[in-house]
Amino acid sequence: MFQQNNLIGAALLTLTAGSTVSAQVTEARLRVDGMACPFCAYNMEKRVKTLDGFYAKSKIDTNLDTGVTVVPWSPKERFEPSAVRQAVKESGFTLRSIGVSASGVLPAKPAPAAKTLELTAPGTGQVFRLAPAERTDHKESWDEVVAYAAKSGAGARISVDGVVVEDEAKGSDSWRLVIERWAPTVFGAEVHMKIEGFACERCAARTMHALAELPDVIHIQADHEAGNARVWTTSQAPDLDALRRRIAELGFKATHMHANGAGDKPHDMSVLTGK
Amino acid sequence: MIVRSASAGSSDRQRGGRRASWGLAVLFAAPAAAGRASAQAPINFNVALQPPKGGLILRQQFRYAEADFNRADADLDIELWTEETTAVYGVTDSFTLLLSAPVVISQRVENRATGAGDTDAGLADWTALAKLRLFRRDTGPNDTLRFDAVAGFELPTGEDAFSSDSIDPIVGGVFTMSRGRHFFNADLLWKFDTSGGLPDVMRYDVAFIRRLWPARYTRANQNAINALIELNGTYDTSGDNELFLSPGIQYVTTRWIIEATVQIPVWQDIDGRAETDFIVGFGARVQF
Repeated sequence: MFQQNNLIGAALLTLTAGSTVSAQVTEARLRVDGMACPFCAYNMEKRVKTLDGFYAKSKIDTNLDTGVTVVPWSPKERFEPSAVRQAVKESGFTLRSIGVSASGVLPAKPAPAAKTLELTAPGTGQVFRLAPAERTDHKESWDEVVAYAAKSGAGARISVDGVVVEDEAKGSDSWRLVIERWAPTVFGAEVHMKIEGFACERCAARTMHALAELPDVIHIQADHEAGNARVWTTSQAPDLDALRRRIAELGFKATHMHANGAGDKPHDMSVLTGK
Repeated sequence: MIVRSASAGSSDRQRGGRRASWGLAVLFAAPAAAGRASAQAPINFNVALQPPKGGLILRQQFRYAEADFNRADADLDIELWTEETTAVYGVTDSFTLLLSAPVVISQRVENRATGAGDTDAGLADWTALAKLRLFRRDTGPNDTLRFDAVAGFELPTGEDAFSSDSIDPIVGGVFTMSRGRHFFNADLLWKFDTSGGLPDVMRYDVAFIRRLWPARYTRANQNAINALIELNGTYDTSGDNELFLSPGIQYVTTRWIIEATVQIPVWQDIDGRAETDFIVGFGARVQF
């Protein structure tokens, strides 16, 4: 249903005992008409790269055949469709649709027949208004999400692929994210560690962002007061040395590092499937 | 661009109409500097595509031409090397400024009867144009329909032998249609002579471009090879007509293009100026 790399892209960072950052929109897919040539693609990409949310550490790329430009989005930045639309307009082309990969926290007790759900990204507080798709083959996804939210209780995290639908009559801030695919945010292993050298919240934040760049890492909690961190990975046998080295590069020392299996994952499919 | 012979000075200008300007046909058959800086553009004329707001494209082009000038009082061979730099700047997504600065590297004129020759070189007249998009309809990933109005001036920056010595207004329009791997372009430009001694000149061009490779773009590859065939025509109000068939080829990436073309005359009805034998052009474009 949902590609593994989508889950990886939906890396979640949680800083306890202090400010919190969290991935929300991890990728935007712009469907653009009128790009007749390679120069056109470059011009469009160049303008989109000036957006605050563009994640410069990843690569933007365009398939001219389909007119789709994949834009990596920074986990620290809000996603504003109106800014994206303006960027494409200024590059001289026509934006047909915006697809988004996002992650966040579902509400605790949605109504069984809810027509919208609010997906909250804890980091910036941005709230995505999730809505069901009109297409029949995607309606099932909506029912699943509502059921999952109802059964999971407070704090259930999911990742979604959807399409932005803007309501021009209500202004540029009024938009919905119509779900096409979704998945619970599932983890392979959880790594516990103590970290020597944490002096402040900033140290913890630096550590989280450094670890988030490792390919296997999808979720981090760091507590500078307790001097420990928890890292969730996609792999059930994570590379502990790689984690240790990255922390050492920041001037800290990781000790008492050990990994648990997937049994401690925050949410898993069993809630939905009943298995 | 208008190039007179070294001997075609002020007295010649007084004759008006069909004067002996050897390079007229040769150089005006070259591009008209009206926005030919996009990737899916013809080599020898305009395109109704524009750089984005704040975008800059530079183009460098070299041309070699041979021409004959046959009249009762003169039988001349002409060889001409030119270099032209064009800068295109996107003021907005639909308004572009262009500046084209040609230089005559070498103009060799040889009298066939006597074998005597003369070589000249220097700046030619620059062209400053503005291009405003009047119509745009994007209908698919590679499909678009656009029309731009063009207006500007040819400026008397050239040295005596290569200048009209007047500020000549240029107006016209350019049309571009793209459908998948096929492109069609056409333009019509009119240059008004204000020197009083030269005819007005009309350019008309059409081009068909086919992307030879790749048949379909992928995320991994945005480069392309295009084949072009153009018809480039000039008519001036003294009654002269000239039409070129111009095949060409381009290699296009996201940042730069290299390209080459040959222009072969297929129709010449000329009285009083040089007849072009052929033109070879090659160049590159880079966008920033």
